[in-house]
Amino acid sequence: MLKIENLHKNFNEKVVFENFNLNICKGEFVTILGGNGAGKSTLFNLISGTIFPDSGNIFMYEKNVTFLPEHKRAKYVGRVFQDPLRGTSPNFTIEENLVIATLKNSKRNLKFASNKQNREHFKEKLSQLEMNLENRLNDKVGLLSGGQRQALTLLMATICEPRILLLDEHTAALDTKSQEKILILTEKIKENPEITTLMITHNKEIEKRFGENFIIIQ
Amino acid sequence: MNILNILLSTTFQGFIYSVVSLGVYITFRILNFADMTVEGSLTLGGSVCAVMILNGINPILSTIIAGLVGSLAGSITGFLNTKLKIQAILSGILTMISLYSVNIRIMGKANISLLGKTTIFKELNQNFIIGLLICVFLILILYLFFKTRLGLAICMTGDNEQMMKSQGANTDLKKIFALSISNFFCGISGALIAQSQGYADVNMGIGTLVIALSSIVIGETIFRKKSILIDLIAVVLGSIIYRFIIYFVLNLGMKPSDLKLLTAIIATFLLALPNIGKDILKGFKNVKN
Ligand SMILES: Nc1ncnc2c1ncn2[C@@H]1O[C@H](COP(=O)(O)OP(=O)(O)O)[C@@H](O)[C@H]1O
Ligand SMILES: [Mg+2]
Repeated sequence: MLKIENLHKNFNEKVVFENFNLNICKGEFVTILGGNGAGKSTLFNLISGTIFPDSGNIFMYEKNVTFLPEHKRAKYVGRVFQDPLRGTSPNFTIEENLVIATLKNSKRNLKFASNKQNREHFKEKLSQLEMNLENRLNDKVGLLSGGQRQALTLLMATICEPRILLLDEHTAALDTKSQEKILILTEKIKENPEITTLMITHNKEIEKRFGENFIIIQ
Repeated sequence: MNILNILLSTTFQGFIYSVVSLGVYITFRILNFADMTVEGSLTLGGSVCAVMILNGINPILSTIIAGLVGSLAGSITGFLNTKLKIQAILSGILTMISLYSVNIRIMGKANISLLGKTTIFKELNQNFIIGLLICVFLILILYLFFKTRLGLAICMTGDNEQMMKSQGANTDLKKIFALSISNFFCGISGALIAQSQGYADVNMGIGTLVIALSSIVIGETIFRKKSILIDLIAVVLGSIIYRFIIYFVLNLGMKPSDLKLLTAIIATFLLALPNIGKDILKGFKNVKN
């Protein structure tokens, strides 16, 4: 499903990837390990199109996406960062954030953003997070805790069922309780055969809990 | 002038200047983009409208065209920033400076008079109503626009651009679009100002950015940020209040040329107020603890 061939990427003089190859099948859950500065986040940036490689190719389902701009690739790629502040828009409501996430595959045109049908759908999805967010659709996201924001980010990244989900140490900034909640949600996603997931982690426990497939980047 | 006339004419000034404040609100507050194009696009709107009216074109049509050329100027700034990767503030300054030459080309000289020409304004009572209607109309349009998917996407691009990119939005286009709407308002405002004062002048835009920002902060100081509709209304009210402040200061014997300094001081004070307020509160808490 995801195939990377002969990937090269340098930053100035620093070589991050040299002749890197990777092949991942649909529905797999792969844990990515490696030391600080090894290039794990860079790999995610390359896959999601935030940066482009110096040479080599990236395929998603046979389609060559190597130089497809980030916003055009986004409908296939969901992404959650370590920093819970990065994935949501703080001055807008939970509902508005979810609306934007559901528009990934449709046009952002002059239709009204919010509607009743949506709201029911959102409530149902939010109740699965078990954080009581389903009754707070009109609250600004900036009012939520880090764990709640990260759960919402995870929901936003998957509400349109991406082909590939990139989790970059997505629990590292959370307290143990929120961490556990997010991990349970991640396990649910792991069960979904439609979504291929790559997860970066530094945490040995998480590694054991999720690891069947590892990639180590050095 | 009797009191009623003073009230009407000052409020009317507030109305026509609030159009540029609404434009600046879109860039500075919604998009988080310090757009300096404003001063050029306002003059551009004024010059284009004046030249068209002098050529016998319908004043309403001339005003709308003035808005459209304003939006073109805004999209150039957007292009410089997003595609050529020039800093926001510099992109705006580049467009603004170019517009100085363009505006003189359009008018053929530094200023042109509309004396004796038919404009959309006539006598005070009527002007007041027209100004009010224009503001109500523009606020409604903006409010509805920001409720749409596109409008929401633009607002969120200003709030968290990284997130919008991960959500598949072409944030460059969103910015260019928002800048062009903002400068559409500036162009319209320039056209209205030119018609109300009876001339267009190549320097008519100087200082408008600070005036617009002052109006916005006056509005925000009075009406705490609640919803976008309240915000938009606050911008217009802020602009009216600003005009009253100016009226009183001039009556106290200040020279018109002192106004820019005064405006800058008002803006500085209001912009600093929330921060200073916080520090003072912190100070109190520290004392208590
Ligand atoms: N945009 C960039 N410009 C320059 N150097 C970068 C950039 N992104 C990452 N790097 C460098 O590439 C290396 C890999 O970084 P990264 O992928 O973030 O590591 P990690 O495996 O810890 O996520 C680091 O040495 C980092 O300094
Ligand atoms: Mg990293």
